[in-house]
Amino acid sequence: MADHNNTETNIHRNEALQRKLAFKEERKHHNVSFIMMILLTLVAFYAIWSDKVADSFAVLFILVLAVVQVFFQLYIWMHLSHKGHDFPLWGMFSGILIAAITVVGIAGMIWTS
Amino acid sequence: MSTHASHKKRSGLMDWLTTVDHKKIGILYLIAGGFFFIIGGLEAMFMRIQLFKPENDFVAAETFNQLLTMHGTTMIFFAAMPLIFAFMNAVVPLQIGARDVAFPFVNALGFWLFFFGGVLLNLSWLLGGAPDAGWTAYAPLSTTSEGSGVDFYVLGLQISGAGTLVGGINFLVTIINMRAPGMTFMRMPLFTWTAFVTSGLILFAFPPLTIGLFMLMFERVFDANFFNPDNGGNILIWEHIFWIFGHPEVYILILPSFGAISEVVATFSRKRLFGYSAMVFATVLIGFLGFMVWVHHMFTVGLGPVANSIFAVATMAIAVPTGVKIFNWLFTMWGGKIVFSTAMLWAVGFIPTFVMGGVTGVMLAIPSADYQFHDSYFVVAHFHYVIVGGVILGLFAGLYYWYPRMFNRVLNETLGKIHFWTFFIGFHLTFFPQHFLGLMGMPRRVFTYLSGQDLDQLNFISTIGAFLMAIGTIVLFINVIISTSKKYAPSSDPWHGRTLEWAIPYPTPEYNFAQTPLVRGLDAFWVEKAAGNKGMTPAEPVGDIHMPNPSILPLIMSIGLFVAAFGLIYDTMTVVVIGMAITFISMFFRSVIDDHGFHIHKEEVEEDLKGVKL
Repeated sequence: MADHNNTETNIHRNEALQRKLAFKEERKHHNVSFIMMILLTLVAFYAIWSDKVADSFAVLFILVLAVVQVFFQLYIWMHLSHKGHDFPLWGMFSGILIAAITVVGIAGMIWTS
Repeated sequence: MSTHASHKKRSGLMDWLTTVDHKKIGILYLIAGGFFFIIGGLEAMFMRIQLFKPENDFVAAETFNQLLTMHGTTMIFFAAMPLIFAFMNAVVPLQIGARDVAFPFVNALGFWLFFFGGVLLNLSWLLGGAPDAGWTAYAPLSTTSEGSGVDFYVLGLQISGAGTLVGGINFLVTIINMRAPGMTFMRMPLFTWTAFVTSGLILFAFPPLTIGLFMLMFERVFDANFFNPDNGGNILIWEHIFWIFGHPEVYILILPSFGAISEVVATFSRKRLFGYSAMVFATVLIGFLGFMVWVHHMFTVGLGPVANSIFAVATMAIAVPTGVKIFNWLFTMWGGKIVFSTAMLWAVGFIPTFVMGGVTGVMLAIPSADYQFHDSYFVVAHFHYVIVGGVILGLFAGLYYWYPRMFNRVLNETLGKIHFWTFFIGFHLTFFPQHFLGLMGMPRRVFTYLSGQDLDQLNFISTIGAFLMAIGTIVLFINVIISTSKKYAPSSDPWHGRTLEWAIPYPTPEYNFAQTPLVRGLDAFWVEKAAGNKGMTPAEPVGDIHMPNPSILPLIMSIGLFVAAFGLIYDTMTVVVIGMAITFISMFFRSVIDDHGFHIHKEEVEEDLKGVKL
């Protein structure tokens, strides 16, 4: 009986430890992404403000930075990597895909001809 | 546990105006859709009468333009769409073992928005002329059209489009979250699958329409220049945006019809659907490809060979999943014990008719050939073969099949068969000659033609066919009226159904399932019947059932937008403010008043269960 109780407490302790580790890991992710997002914002700002990046490339450049930021936002801060987000993910990505096709299609056919 | 007493029963008109019950909303959609179907049909009849002989003067050219615009707009947005929503409402929650949709209040709102959008558009006939720029409302024809017809078009579609969008989202959430235990995705009946994909298409296709209509409204009401080349705009922007919506729209229409046909063919062949997983895959693939083909409506615009070729290939690719479906229906019937009930007749008539529409579709997908077909009666024949021969025949099959479940009455089979044969023969008589009229050079949307061009005879035949279709529709309405007599009460499972909606006692209780059923396979009810069980195995004990309260707010919100639309059309800002105030105040009430619904108590449910006859 005593032995049984002991095992159970051990299991509980183990679980608590794991949760703590996972929590720590997540906090690390939060810290890293927070710093990265500030840096990315600064880079984008600097790219335009300093005129060091050619105008033609600057738009594309800051758009790419923005996309990276969106992924940080969705996966780190809005926890999309966690379980149970299959349908929101499907919905979002098919929406993004269709919007992208639409924009690229119209832009390609109207503003290049 | 409930703190609320059982709700007071509302009766008569108030019950219908405040209902949030998906079964009653389904009936409302059916009645309203049927009403607009008659209006759109009358407009078609007037056009056919005008065209029955050369240089006829039954209607003037301007009236003809209004008729063709209103016929297209009414039939697509206010007849086919609500009829699809009618069956989705009536059937989908029952097929997945749910007690209602996810958001019953929003469901009612969706219906009333659609209804007032349709009423607004049709009031244009009485208020100085209907829209006359075609259902596609191409700029600059639509932006420069005289009078306020096109304003009615913009605002009517905007309001009803919002209703369709919330309806689509509602069904997505319902199908994802409210399936009964054991009802996995790959056990869902095909009609539910098609409703699911259609709702997804609505979610992604209607926002472009909303944006396009906003741009058109700004252009007309506030003198914007999106489509005005003189000020840096581009008329092609409207065409692109409209068809980015418009092409998925036709798949929104056809997919639920495919679903209904799949149910009917399987039920009346007494076989499970052949290639269920291939059917699901084909449905999803058609939905996906539907967003990649919009330019095939614009081949003659001059986008260049590269764009045209890409979209031509994508268009032809859709024939593959559609062909998969056709063959699966044929293989379902092959070796089955086929019962030719009226519903099955519609389904069997659907298959070759839709194939013909599909074949002309592939012909039109060839850009070089399309330069010949474009804007001719060939195109008119093609899209009537897929929309009447596809969507409407499928909806009629669904109507005869699900009518007992929706109204606790059966439709008379003899009258049903008369309806089928007159409508079916009339349909082919009307539209088959139009292929040749098109190839002979008769342009679409033109109010008359000259004699001596070999167009007289085929047009005459076409008009006779239209009258046959009208007779068929009248027979349907006689049938509906007769069905209200007591003689036509059915059993709860008149067709030996396979899916969950037939496992419910008759008449359908307000809460659908006294106990949520446990689903043990595809064709859940058939699985139980094959195992010798009387009904479904319950997945829960009998208990209190939580129900949503009825509400008048959806109706008032929609009336608010209806009033505001008049303000925009007639440029009277006070009316806009009053209308929007009505809508926002009702939204405010909806937000701050806690509405917990009510419970149907265990004792009442048990009482109902005692009286059940299966």
